[in-house]
Amino acid sequence: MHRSVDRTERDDGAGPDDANSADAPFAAAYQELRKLARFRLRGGGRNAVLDTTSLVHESYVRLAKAGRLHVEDRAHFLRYAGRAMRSVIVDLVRNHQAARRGGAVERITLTTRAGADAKAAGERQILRVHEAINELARHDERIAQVVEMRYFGGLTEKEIAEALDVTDRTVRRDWEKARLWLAEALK
Amino acid sequence: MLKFGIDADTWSALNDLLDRALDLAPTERIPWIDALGPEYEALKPRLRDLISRGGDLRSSQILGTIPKFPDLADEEEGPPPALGDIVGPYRLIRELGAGGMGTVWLAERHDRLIPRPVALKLPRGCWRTTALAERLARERDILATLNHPNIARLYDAGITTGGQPFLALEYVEGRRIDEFVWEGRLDVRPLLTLFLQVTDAVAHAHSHLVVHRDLKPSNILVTAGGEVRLLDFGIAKLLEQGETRETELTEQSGRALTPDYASPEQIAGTPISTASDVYSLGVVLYELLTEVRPYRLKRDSRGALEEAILQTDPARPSDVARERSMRKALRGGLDWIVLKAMTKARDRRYASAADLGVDLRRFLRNEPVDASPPSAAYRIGTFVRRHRLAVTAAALLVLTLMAGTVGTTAGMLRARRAEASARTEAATAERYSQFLVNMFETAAPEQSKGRDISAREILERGAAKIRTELANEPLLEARLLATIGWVYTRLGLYSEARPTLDDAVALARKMGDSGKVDLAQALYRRGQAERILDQPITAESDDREALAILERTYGPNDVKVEPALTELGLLLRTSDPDQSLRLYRRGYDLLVAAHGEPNGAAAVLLQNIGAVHDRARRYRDAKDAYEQALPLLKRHFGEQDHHVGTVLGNLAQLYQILGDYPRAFEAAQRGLEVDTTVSGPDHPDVGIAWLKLARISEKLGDQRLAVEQIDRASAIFGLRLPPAHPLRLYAAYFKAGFLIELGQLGDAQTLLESLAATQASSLEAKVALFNGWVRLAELERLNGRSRDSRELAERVLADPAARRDRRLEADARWARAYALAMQEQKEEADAERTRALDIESAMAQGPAFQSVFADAKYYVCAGNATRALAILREAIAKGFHDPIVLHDPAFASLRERQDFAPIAAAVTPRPRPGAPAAP
Repeated sequence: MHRSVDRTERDDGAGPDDANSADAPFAAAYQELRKLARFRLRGGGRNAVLDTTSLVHESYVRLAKAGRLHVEDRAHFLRYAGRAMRSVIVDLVRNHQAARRGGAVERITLTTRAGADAKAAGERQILRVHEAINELARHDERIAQVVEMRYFGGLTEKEIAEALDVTDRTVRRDWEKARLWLAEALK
Repeated sequence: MLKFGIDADTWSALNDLLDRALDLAPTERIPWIDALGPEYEALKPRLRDLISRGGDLRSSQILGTIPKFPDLADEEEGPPPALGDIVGPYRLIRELGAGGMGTVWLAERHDRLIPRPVALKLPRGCWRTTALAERLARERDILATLNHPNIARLYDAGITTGGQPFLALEYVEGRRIDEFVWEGRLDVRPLLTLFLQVTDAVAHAHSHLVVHRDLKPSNILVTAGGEVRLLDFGIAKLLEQGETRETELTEQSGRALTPDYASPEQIAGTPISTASDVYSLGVVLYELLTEVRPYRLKRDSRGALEEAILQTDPARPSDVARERSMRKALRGGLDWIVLKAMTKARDRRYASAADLGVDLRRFLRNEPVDASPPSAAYRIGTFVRRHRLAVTAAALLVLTLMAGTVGTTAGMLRARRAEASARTEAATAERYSQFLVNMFETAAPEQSKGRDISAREILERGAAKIRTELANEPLLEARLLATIGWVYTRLGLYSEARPTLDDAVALARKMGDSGKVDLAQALYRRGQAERILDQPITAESDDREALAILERTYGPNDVKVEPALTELGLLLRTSDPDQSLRLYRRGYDLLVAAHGEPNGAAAVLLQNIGAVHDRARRYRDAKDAYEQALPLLKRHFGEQDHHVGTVLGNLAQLYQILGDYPRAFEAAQRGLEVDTTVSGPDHPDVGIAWLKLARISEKLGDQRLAVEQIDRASAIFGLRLPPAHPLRLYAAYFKAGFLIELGQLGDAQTLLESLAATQASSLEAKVALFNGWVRLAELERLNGRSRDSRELAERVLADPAARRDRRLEADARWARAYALAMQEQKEEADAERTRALDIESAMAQGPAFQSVFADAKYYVCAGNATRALAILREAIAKGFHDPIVLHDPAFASLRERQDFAPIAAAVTPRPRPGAPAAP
């Protein structure tokens, strides 16, 4: 354990290039997810819905194609994507709520009222799941990750299993338990 | 705030029970809970509550997916505006258009006797917030400052009592500028004259610090009188301090942005400025002139367009224009003007629309324009953005160009006194440069027809061209091949490097005297490739021959001898460190004497000198040399340079040895960063950086991360290095160590057994291999097979190679001592321990903690736990804090003891710096 690996000294000089960082592939993943999320909401116009599953997959493909991720990064990426999506979405919800609290001039009609309520409830749920994950993580990091990847990342059980290096069955069971806890927390 | 309100014990008890309950059929669960023993009484209500939620969950999709979010636009949407509606003081007359942002109506004030037609913009419902009211008020104020005949006026903006926001703009009857130009078949001059109205209007806005942000043909109308009207400063924002960031507010309005004309900074979401409008104007002008879009997309999608805007350089307008006459008119000045406006780097664009207008007027007056064909530096810069690997190749070629012309002409002219041969040499040098420039030029996008070219391809083509076209000029051919071989080596493409350099050597050799300097260069470059490929014998003969030639040609004290000295020094650094050090020092002195102070090459030698000390465990000398080299290297080569990466990696390892793990981690991370940037992610140097990082992660107690990192290193090594290469062996060796610490002994065993079966040829490979054996010995011992363990250790010790590396010898002796102790051969064991300790103390320069750890382990094996603990405690008092005692299975029995607790507390790592924080 204590042998120091040989240092490689190198000779000749090299030219400059632009910067990158050690955690670069994943920092890049985060930026990519954010950017995609923003454009998806902006470009699609009226009916833009944030489809997290395709967002995650698309950003993976884009990064892989750009040579910023390698095949062996996939598991790491998926873990990271769950976390990144969670923070992207929670930020969006908070911004949206802040904008509304800013004193929206709401036109109150029967039909729109119902729609608005459903939406606000959805947003509340998102924030409460976010908080519940923090709470879960204090007791069981893996369960928290499963929820993060499934709920926020929209990943399949198989992908989650791959990312966490556990069996599908374990993921299914974790998710089953997590839903019980969450249902209790959200009641 | 949510709380499950339970402590860790309750949680784990509930968790277990939940698992068991969920294994049962749904109907059996509640009865099972009811039947649980009295010790579970307190948990039962909670458990029932949790389990009973399962029924609700199954019947609903709750939590299955995230709620649909956040289709903001649908929210609170009223009925769409319709003909005849009254919006505030306006009556809608006719819909003029609809877009992502809302609808635009021809309207008139219903409360005026003489109605004035206006274009009334009605943004969609999602804007009905106070933020919108603020924005409208702001826009009104901004636009009030704009008073220009070519900018459509904003008359009014507000929100109706019903909550409908509106903007009343001057109603302009006109046609889109692109239709006007194309249908009118406007010639270059009238077209530009018309366009100048646009630039003037935008310039006016810029002078009021207003950026349009959404310039596009549909916002630029031409009236029947031939006057331009710019519409829709709707998303303009007052510039603060010359530049503006995307705030939440403008980000929302950014929805309306049309990507076709958006600048790279708008796509990337970075700050925008007047130069962003200049870019959009450039695109509009490009289209007006050529009738085609500037980017040809591989697929028709928004993503592809964004990618192109960020990465691809547009073709020259003169190459793509529809009209033949237009192509001719565009060539030269106008090409450069349009491309300058559309440059990706905004500080290379015109600073504002006014500057663009000035240059267009120059063109119209037939004066030289400010814009110029992209310089070589610009083209290289463009290339840099396109390909990482190719970039390095390009940078290297440029470097050899500079080094080549200076080195060859000045140096060789002096070497060859005869004027005739000097002229020949000057011509050769000139041709050499020209050839390399051409090689690069071919790779530039416009000559390769937009196809992506890899560095490998550039070099392959270059080499092929050299071999066919220069068959009659062997000297030039040899010199160019040597250069290309060197670039291959630097790119880590070793299998391509070797044959290229072989040819260079053979050609130069045939030239006799006139080729001797080129021969020397080709030889030490081939020596470099051979060294990296772990072929020390051929490398040494090449290096020595090169050195002899250079010494004969220039004399032993000429600085031109230095490259061969350095290369030989590098080669001998493990097998003969003292000679290596002498060679480095000689090279260093020559460089300082020639330049008056340490230059870049001298700084590299300082780092190499540090590495020799480092390996000889003279840590203080090593640290001094590294820390002296680092600022020099940064100064001479810049922060992003591979020498800087090397020193950072070496410093990281040194800090690790000295026990400063957080600092080590930081340096290793910075080193990895630099190496990845400079060499691309697959370069063996990057693999070495990952390997170092992994070893520090291990020390910081994150074995899982360490395994991930070492796997990255292995993957990289596997791509470029032969199977028995020492680096590949070491990667496997270290991984096995991490696995052992993670308790995955089976996996470690498999890995080490395959490692042990490797055939090693060179000394370095053998040392690496033997390290693997020693670790396997450790594993055998842990599995209770002390005889196999001892046998492995003895096989290592029997080989003379083991004696060449003292660390290896010590480790092997320790392994033998452990096995003997377990076999209760006390005397022999103690004797072997003493020999191991002797080597350790002879090597020790810094704190001798490695022997502490090894010695404690010895007493564990000897069954004397009390003594082992005492050794550890004593070392901790002196500053030992290697967390390995928390993970090494050899200490498992110690860790179970109560008196181990204070030791555990002392060595538990602090959190890793720079670790990503949970959101």
